Amino acid sequence: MDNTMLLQRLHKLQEVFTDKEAELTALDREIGDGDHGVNMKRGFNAVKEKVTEGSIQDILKQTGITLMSSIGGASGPLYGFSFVKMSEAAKGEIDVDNLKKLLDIFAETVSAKGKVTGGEKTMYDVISKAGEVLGEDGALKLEDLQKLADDTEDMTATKGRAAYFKEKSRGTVDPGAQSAVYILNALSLEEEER
Amino acid sequence: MTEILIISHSKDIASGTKSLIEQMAAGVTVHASGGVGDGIGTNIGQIDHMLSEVESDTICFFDIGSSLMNLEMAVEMYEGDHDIRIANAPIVEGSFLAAVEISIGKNIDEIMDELSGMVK
Repeated sequence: MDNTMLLQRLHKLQEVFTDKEAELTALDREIGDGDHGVNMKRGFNAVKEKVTEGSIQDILKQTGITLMSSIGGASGPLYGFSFVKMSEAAKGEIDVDNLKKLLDIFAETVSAKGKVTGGEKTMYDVISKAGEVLGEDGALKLEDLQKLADDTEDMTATKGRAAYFKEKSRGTVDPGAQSAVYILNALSLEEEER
Repeated sequence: MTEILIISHSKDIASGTKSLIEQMAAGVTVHASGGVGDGIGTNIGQIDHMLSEVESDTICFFDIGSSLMNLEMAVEMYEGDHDIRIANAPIVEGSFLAAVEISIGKNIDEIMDELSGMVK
């Protein structure tokens, strides 16, 4: 994936999160404060508006800084800081090996800054397993990622706002896990648009 | 002289703590910010902005939830020349103790050591 393709993918997330706003809001209304849909849309509106051409590293870093400053709550800083950290390890063109490395950094950053490990019904449950569903060709398929998010449905939240809902959080997919599906899918090295 | 930085979810807590400290330990530099827009929250941008204005080594205090995460990220991305530390002490008692210690000339290591006994 070169810089032009990366920028297109990240800009396209603005459409994705506009389409998915209602879905994320509905999930977050069940087990959070209901602002995840509007937050993600606001974040990627800002990315579309502010992130412009540059090297892969520049684009990832600009995206990170933009997300950190435009999304409230914990998800914006976590996604944003992860993009900043990924920018430091990104090559001039992202190949499968580099993408693996970036996914590791994404997971490590969310774990360290969000103080999460696996099975706590968070975005980490999708991000940390993305490397496992990464195809040999570098594909991060929507359906594979969605399965990871769906696995959070039966988990009980112990972190973040959803933790206040304890056992009641079961039966709903974590909104952060769901938004992570779309973000990771944008990093897929598959050529064809879905 | 070591400076103090306060990040709170509430504008009133930030400014109230700042005025408390400034009255009790005059001459100590306090950077304080809280809330996002007219509401409750913290934002990494406001921490970056405060860090850009520090002129010496600085001890940072935070309140609840994501303020620590935002603070940690801002400190990790800080590219200035000063030593920026995060204290896991209660925001009012901790920053007050730090201000008094600064005013009597203690250095940042001594103050951080004192604060480590005040974990919230």
